[in-house]
Amino acid sequence: MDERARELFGGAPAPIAESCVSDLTLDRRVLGELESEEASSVEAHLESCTRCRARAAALSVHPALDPAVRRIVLGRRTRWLRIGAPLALAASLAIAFLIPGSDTRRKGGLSLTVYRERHGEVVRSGSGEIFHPGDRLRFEVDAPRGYLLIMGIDAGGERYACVPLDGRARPVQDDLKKVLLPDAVKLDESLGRERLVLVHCPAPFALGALDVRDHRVITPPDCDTSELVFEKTR
Amino acid sequence: LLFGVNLAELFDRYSPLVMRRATAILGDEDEAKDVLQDVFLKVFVQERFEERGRTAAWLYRITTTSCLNRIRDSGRRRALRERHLDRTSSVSPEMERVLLVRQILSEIEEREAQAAIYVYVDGMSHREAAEMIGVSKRTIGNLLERFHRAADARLGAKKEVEHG
Repeated sequence: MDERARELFGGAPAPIAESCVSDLTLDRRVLGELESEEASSVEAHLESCTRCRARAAALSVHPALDPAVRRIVLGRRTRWLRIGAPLALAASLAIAFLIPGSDTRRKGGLSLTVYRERHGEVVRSGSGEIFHPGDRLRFEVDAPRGYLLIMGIDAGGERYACVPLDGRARPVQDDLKKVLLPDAVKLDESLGRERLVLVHCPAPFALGALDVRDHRVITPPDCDTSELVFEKTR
Repeated sequence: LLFGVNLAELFDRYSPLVMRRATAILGDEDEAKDVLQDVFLKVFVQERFEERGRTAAWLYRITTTSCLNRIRDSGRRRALRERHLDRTSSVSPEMERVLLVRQILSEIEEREAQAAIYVYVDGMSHREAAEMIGVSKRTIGNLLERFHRAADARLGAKKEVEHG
């Protein structure tokens, strides 16, 4: 029964021993995902099992991926941009009076880009755009090594920790270049103009160390900020 | 990097695995490329990335779902068949096999199809497949049994057609 099904699928050959390993285990082995104990038992098994050794060898040969496919896949972000273009255009008209001269992007090698997901569609979003309650945001940053925190400031001037949620700046050991942060936040129901401020400092800090006076973000010394402003409407 | 995921790096590291599995499941490289795109789009909008050491299993799951979604789309099946028809209006035995597998997978429950793929394509044990789907090891046995019944019915029907 099993044999016929394997033949039908043309997949991995049948195991010949209890300790035979799956393709997933072999993939995880190559990717360095196995814990040391599991890794050594897999290596020991491979020493003695021709079936698994042959399978490991077969999996390690993969046809080169057409570079065009890589470009297309990674270029999806460009296509998402195009989807968002009409919105961005409308927003750029608004931006002129929304944030007079307060665009601090790219200062000190620091930059903040927001990817916004709504109904399954992802749009790269910049300052001045219209966001909606329920939108999910992810962040892509450029930043030198140090400590990072993204602070939100809602329409009422209330400050909140966006990334990380506990309000303690996260250490970064290497320079980040267009790195997508693993965090995602969902916008709440409150409406109006909101600001997202990426703060970078050379030393550890927390949300409590930041202040806002006359719309200006006050940071500890030697820190940089990069900011994004959006309007939240229904 | 202490935190953060670079999409290009993630793609370079994991795309061979996604592409290989999608090709094995779908039996068609062009469609596998589409799945590759689907998978990485999903990766990009996920709430969070899978914890360290579990990325491969997580991508296995997303790839399986994405392949099954395509397989269930009957329009695609027809298009695939037409693309592989040669001048004598017949398809190769290999394509016959692929079309048959896809037919069966499209006619059974999602979890039955997942179990069959993990065990028969990826060579997983029932315990591993159970972990992937989030069911008990015993359930995998039941899911595979239902898969076998569907396969038998389909193979039986095919024989009848062949032998008139």
